[in-house]
Amino acid sequence: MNISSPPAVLSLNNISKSFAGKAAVKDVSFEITKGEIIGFLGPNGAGKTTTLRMALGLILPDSGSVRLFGEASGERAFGRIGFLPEERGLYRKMSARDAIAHIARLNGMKKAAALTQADTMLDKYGLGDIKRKKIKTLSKGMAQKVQLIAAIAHDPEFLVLDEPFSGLDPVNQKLLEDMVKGIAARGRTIIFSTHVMEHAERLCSTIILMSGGAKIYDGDLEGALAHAPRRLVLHTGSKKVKTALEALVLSFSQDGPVCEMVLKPGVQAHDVLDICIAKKIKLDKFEPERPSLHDAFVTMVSSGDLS
Amino acid sequence: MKFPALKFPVMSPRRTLLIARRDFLGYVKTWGFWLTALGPFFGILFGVLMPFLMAKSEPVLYAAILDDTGMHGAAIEKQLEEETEWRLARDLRELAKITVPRAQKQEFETLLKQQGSVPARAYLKQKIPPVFARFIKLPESKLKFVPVPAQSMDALTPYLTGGQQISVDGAKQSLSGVLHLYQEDGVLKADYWSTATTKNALISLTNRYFRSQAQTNYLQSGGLNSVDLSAERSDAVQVSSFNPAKTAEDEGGQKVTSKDRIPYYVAAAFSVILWFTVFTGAYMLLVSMVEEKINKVLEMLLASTRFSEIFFGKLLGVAALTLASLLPWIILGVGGFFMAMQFGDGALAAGLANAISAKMLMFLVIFFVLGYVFYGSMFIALGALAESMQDASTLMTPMVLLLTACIMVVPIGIAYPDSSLLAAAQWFPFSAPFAALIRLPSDPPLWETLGSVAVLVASSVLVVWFSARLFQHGVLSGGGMASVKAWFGRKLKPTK
Repeated sequence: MNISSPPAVLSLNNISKSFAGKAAVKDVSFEITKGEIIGFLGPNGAGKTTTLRMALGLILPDSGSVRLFGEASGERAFGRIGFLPEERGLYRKMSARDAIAHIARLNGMKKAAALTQADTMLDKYGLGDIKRKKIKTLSKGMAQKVQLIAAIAHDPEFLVLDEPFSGLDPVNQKLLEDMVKGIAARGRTIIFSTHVMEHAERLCSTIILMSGGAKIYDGDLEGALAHAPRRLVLHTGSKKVKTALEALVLSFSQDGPVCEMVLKPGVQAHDVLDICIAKKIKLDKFEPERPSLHDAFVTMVSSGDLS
Repeated sequence: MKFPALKFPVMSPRRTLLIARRDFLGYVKTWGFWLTALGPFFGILFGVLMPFLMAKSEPVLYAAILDDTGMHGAAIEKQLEEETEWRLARDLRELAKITVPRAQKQEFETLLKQQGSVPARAYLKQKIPPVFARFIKLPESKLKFVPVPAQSMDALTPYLTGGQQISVDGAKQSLSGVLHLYQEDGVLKADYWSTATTKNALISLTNRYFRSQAQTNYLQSGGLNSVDLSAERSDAVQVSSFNPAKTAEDEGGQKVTSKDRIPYYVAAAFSVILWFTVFTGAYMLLVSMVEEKINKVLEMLLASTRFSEIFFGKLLGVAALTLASLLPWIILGVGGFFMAMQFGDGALAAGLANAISAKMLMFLVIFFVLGYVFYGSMFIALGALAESMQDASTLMTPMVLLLTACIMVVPIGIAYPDSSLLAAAQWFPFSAPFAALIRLPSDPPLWETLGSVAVLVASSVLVVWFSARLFQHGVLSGGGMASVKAWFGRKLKPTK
């Protein structure tokens, strides 16, 4: 990430946190600058939620420091932050409209403006007919959308979404992706945690990967993908292809003319092509597969590659 | 050992009030809240009105006496008349307490004594507002004797079983029961015949009559009589109670009257109300806290507010709630006070005026606020530590036991206002609000009451500080009791 240009919205410096002697977050540092969409990725138990809670000042780190908008997180920048916690919940006996307006008012909006904003956003996201329904009567997906609206109703500069896609059906996941893109288009900064890499691949410019409480990658998407093993599919009638490529591949399987291989780290598809040309191996098809973030993550975790 | 410094938390009044408002409206809009708040109120109202309603709905029983001996029937009827008159006079006096202004009480009493219950009842009827007169029936006897319609039990049976009816003032009525008095082998017998087996008024009356007869016969055998015995009894010496702390110049001299006792009862009532308020308020805080934890609302709130704003917002919101739940009682109390001042006898009015002094009211407010903050803060912290309602119940049990022990100062305060235990309880923060209030009528030195206030202020500050930290660690760290244990461990670790 570029530290020199825009000021950091969030800055974590060597933060660690343990619960009952067990380390949940280990010496994590990163910065988020204005306008970024950050994918905060990792499997369950990787320390994502704890890190986000420390970032917002909900939990104090055992060591290290946190700065939000340049201030210590103890002096939280209320009204400038929107937060969707991992464990969802709103006042069950409140109407959807009142629940959104209540959070918006706590974030500094006037009563009339908060109610108008709640109405507008519920209409915008297709929930106009449940405005006056109590939260307890809504489906889980609807309640989750209401909570997301509550997190963004006051138009925060920095939006923290903890596992926003969990519990949503594919249609609503798509709707949420569109919401996130819309918010980002207005220049807002967003960090969202997820263990589903596809969402991050579609939405994020920057990726932070966590595993076992530690950060294992922090950089742009392409950089992360570069860690993924390269897969390649060849179609050839040659019998000497396996021997020819032995030095370049981690694994090789052949079924008739179809050969599938995983390239060794650092080996590029054109290296394979060069060998095939040099060895006069006739190719009917040469198809490098696009690397996935999932593969990159697995590779980084297994190799202990810390960036 | 290291402890964090005591410092007042930074808070936004706006956000604190928003949290308070939400907590207040969240409860006050529910039926459950008003049922809980008004339930006892309506219970008492129902209890007060019940005798009147029962009297209004209870039918008159018509009974007859078949007196084969010819010796007791008329006497029993006369006893009923006398008892009815006495009972009516008693009931009319009770009714007069709340309907006849103090200036006219003597006039009513003279009328009742000299002319009996009938004109007194007519007098009272004029005093009751017509809207109440519709619901309240003035006392009258529910047992009336009628001439016996037949001269044998066989002939009377159809009247008792509904086959035949009697005529009373031109209207057909059922005969409820027959008292049959007869001799058998030279022994007087009294049998009561009725299908209404639970209506025992005539049985009781007859038993009283024969007991009275037995007493009269016994006294007469020794040359004595019941009238003289009653006169002797009424002239018996009665102990008068005096208070040396009073002076002869005081109203009523040094004699102890209800005016002197009422302040203790009033202080006891205030202590009990304070106890209930603290208990219900603290319980509401605990439930509200646990519900927000269970509903996962707190984390969302904490991204928008400081924990101190949630803490104090809750205290404020539930304080408003407890005031709302007390409102019917405040209205009842104030109404009752003015009614007593207007209609009550002189000693009652003077006693109440003495009890509800400016000093009492001032300390009542102070101890209400401090007691609520002291206990409320602790219950919020307990709520923050609990992960479920079961956890909350477990954590609450010791507090409930402690609160129950503390309310024991009330009976001690009435029976032994100068008890050293009571004086000590005033310095113990858990019992201080109740003990200090109930000691006020015995006029302890002002420094003792102020000392009690000081102890409570200091304890409340400490409890709020400590509870706020428990709340912070219980809620923010999400670890409940485990987190608190770890926090204690860190704080109590010896520093090198």
